[in-house]
Amino acid sequence: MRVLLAGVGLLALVSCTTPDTVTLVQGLGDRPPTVTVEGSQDTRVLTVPLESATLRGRGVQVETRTPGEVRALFGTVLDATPTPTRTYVIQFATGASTIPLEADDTVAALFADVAATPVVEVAIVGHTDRQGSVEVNDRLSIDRAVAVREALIARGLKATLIRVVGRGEREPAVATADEVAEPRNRRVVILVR
Amino acid sequence: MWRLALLLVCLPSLAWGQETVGLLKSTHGTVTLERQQQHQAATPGMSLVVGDVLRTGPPPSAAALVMVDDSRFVLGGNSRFVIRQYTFNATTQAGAGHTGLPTGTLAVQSGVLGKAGSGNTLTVTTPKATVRVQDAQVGVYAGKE
Repeated sequence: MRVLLAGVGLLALVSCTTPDTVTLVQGLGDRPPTVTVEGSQDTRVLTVPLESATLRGRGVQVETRTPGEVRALFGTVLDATPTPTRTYVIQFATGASTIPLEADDTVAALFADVAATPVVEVAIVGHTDRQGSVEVNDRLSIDRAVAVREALIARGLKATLIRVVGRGEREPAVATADEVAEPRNRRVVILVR
Repeated sequence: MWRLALLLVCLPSLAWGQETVGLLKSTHGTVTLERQQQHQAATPGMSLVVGDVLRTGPPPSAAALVMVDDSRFVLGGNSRFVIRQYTFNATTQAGAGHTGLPTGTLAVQSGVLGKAGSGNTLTVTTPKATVRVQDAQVGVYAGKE
């Protein structure tokens, strides 16, 4: 009991004495991370992992924490961060919105993933190449996403889990000039999260 | 018509005019959701909308959220988290996410709204600071109000 009380007392002490803190844990993706901390009188920018901004009074002080200090303060919430989004890709023929038979393995892997994820959301994102107008490609990308949605529902995926998005020609997998046909850009990307 | 049907499919158990901006991915211990002055136990799978307030009980209570732009938030024990504004156009990928942490511990993993150069914004406001997150995972601790 004494140990328990001592532990509770220590936790209470920590929560009373720890100043408000913002820590850059790690960068994500290809670009360098940037965390801007704007206090009432001071703004500081964190760009290096383990840099921390501490807010004391009206000022913002920046110091580098040790990995142990960061884990002591944020370990619980960092460990509970949901797993990264998984991506599945289905390619289409020019102008087509019918799922090709070759996509069967991808669909099977997708279903296994969904079944293994307790609380799951599936975003179906249609893309086109740059052949045709933006408006036509917007429509085609949605048609492709809807075709995949219907096919997945027909195979047993719950409709309530699914979100459909058309990105048109805005996000090519392979950069091309306008009006260039590129098979790798005619695709639907399925995000499982 | 099919777009309307899709919209209906995508907005389960929400009132008209409320757009889903996130999904409650997991909870641990005591987690409550306040929506339009109504309090209820928060359970995994719940859709989240602007204005929602999540509260956690003492550690090890926690809640994990995945937002529409793929940003992730994890709320630790004894925390309060508010979705102040969250807009995201999935077609153009433009929008802004503004959240609040009046008190507690939060981990943030930026998604599309936190990509540098996109013109988008992802922020967490505490009683002492506003934190803008770009291409990063951060921890935020806000002491008692």
